[in-house]
Amino acid sequence: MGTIHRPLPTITPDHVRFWEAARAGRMELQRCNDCGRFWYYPGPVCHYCSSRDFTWTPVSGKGTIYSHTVLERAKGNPFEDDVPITIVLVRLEEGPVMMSNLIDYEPGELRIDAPVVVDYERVDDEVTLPVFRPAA
Amino acid sequence: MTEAVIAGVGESKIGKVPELTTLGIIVDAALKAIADAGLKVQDIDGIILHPAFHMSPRYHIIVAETLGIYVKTLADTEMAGGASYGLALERAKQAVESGLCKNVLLVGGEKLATGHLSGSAMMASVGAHNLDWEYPYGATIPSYYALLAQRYFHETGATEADLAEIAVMTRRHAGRNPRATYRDPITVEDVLASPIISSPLHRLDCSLVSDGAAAYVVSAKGASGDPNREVEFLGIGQAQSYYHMGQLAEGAGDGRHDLVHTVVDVAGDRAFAQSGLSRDDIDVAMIYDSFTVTVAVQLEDLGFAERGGAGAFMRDHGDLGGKLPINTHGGLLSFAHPGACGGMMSFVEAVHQVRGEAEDRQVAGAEVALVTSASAVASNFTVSILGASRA
Ligand SMILES: [Zn+2]
Repeated sequence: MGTIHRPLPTITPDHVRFWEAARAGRMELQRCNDCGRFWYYPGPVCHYCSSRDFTWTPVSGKGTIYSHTVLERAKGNPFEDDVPITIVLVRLEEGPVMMSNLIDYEPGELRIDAPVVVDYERVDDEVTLPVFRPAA
Repeated sequence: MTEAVIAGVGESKIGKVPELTTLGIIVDAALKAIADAGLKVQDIDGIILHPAFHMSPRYHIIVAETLGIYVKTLADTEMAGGASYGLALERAKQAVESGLCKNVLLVGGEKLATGHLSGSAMMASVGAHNLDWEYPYGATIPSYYALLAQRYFHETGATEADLAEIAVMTRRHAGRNPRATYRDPITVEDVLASPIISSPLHRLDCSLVSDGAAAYVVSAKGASGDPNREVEFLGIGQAQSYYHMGQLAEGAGDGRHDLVHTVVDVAGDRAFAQSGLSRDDIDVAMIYDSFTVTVAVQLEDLGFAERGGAGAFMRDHGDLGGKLPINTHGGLLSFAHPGACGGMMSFVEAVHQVRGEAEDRQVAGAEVALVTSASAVASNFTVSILGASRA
């Protein structure tokens, strides 16, 4: 899969740390200092217990596929010439579920519950997106 | 207490309407609804509207001004995509019952077929889905529902052929509606042979892209031109869960709701409790059909079909003459889907059905109709139970 013409996220103080880590090839999420859970997407408060006491913490980057689709037609979107694009929902080992892409996979590896591991796609100087590939 | 009713409904020409502007079709639908209610424009004192995708956030005011409605005691927008006009209906009902307004106009229209709106413009303006954490991965609206469908298959054992049954039956209904965009019958094989948009969804699993407008007027019972044609609210409910797909997948943590176990049951339970009716009392249903899978999860979560059985239910019971005729006008899949106001057309059809005005599509003796609306990947729902006038 080549580079996708990606609409880019707006980086805000709520999640600049996430993007800094991604640029450095790491995934860091906020971990709640009260209930101990990780949450995604990054934001100002624990999604589970409303605590604002958290620590940015490296995560394993491992997960399993919760659902998947291969986008074949995307007329009118900036990435319309980049199809097919494989979109997955990944349940991270640490709990949260995130949307991403699956890259470099064999057909049998695109299935629910298949193990995946994070990789990084550099888009520009600011944005490096976490994507996933099958776990070895 | 004042009791609210749907006093009138109207629809513009639908499909491809290059000769009229968005404002033109909205005005057309509004005037038809007001006339259908036996009212005059000057009787309207409230307006709720979902601004057309590329229009001003003040579009509701512009529409009222265009129609010549000067003083309104309720003038607001309802911007919840496909669920907007289900949500707005409850608000209009409350406005009339509380004495805030006498006659509330709900109207919406879009020109998606001939209006030159790009996919990215739609994503950005309607806020359908998240631009920071989802759209950068190439997620279009069909791909969201595709992720839902794939997980639905995994959890229930249902297949693409099951979803296809929903498209097939909806098209059969559309065949009886001269106003429907597509009327030729299709088969399960046709659906499965249509191109993949986002796997596992085929083109025929997806709703249309249309021009069109619709309107209804909510008034106090007995105040319209013909109380016998007023349609009563028997029950109404709404529920909303989360927004991002990951959050929907994680669910509420209560083991009850997640991506494929939607909160439409909460809206439905409320509507049924108010009405005192059971599932068997519903004569005809309009189930919001942005995609075939949208219908599937609602039919199951509302308790009409068993888990994974929505396709078979539609095939076996959804036709005219069946246990529960569904989307008798042809739905968003075959009738028309002009964006947020597409869901209004389900209400218009339900009104026609319980008034006995549905022509070749008429469900014999229909007195009670259930209408759902939905948006944001099966996260936001309304359920309305409407009844024939008891005047
Ligand atoms: Zn917490």
